[in-house]
Amino acid sequence: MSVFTLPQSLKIVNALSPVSTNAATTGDIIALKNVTGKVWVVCNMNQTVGHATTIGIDECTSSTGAGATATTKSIKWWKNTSTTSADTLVEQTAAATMACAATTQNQMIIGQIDPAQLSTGTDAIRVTITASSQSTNHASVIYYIQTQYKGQPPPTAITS
Amino acid sequence: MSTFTLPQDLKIVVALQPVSMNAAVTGDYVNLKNVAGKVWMVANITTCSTGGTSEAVFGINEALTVAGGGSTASTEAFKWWKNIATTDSDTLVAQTAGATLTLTTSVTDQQVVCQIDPAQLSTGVDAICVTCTATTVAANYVSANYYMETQYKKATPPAAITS
Repeated sequence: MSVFTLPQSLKIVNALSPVSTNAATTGDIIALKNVTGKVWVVCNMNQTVGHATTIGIDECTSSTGAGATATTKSIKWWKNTSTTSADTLVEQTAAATMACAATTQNQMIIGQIDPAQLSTGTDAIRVTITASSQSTNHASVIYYIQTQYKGQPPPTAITS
Repeated sequence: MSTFTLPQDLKIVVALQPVSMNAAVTGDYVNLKNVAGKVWMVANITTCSTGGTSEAVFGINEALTVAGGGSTASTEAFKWWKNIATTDSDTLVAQTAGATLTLTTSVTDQQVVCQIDPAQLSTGVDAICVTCTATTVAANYVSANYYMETQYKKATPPAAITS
């Protein structure tokens, strides 16, 4: 019998509540200090108009966003380019960013961030989404964090 | 060293892509046949400043097939967690178990998590979906995913949206 309970075993943090991707957006910043494993960024993309909207990760030196720079590290990504007709996430070639397929299909993109692969001094990260210039396209993003303190609830990740 | 990998250890299925809550919405159905543990539904809600007073209600429908045959609102007491201000806080607070969960009346973005144990569902139930009542405010949005503990953990867990 599994003892895994999603909201207690992983820290769930809102990165972006559903928001238009008409303009570029950046998600909330999360501190990595309590991360003992990996962080996953789960992105739901509603593509009313086909566009290769691109998702990336900023490295920050503090949880207030200081020194934010786009990472150049190779991150693992998974993608489902048609969530209406399939539920298969296909692993992609590791890369710093991942673009949506430029189609009108709703999509899901997941990035896996291992803090060990980030630049020295990185204390926090945030997700970034490029502009689609389409007000009817939307994104919603959540972080799932493996922390050293599993509990009800796990410790905060949005403050230092 | 943990070997847990989210997209391989849990089957992740989109329930609702970001969609307006102006009208009531029903998520995709997921089949429970390969579930070996529990299913979690995680929803992100944007509550706009002009329409934050609407109290949307989340629920779970039980169905006899993944096509939605015989779908009815479950009356079972599910575990729920809620964060009523995701901009200020990242704490999910466990709620009293219930068949439904009502959003807090506020203008803050919110997050809702529901834990569904297939063992607590009615006999014959083969699939479930999330439901959310209308806020009648076009600028309110919801997005939701299912996270399923399946008996087949692997690079590509089996499909859950077909029989």
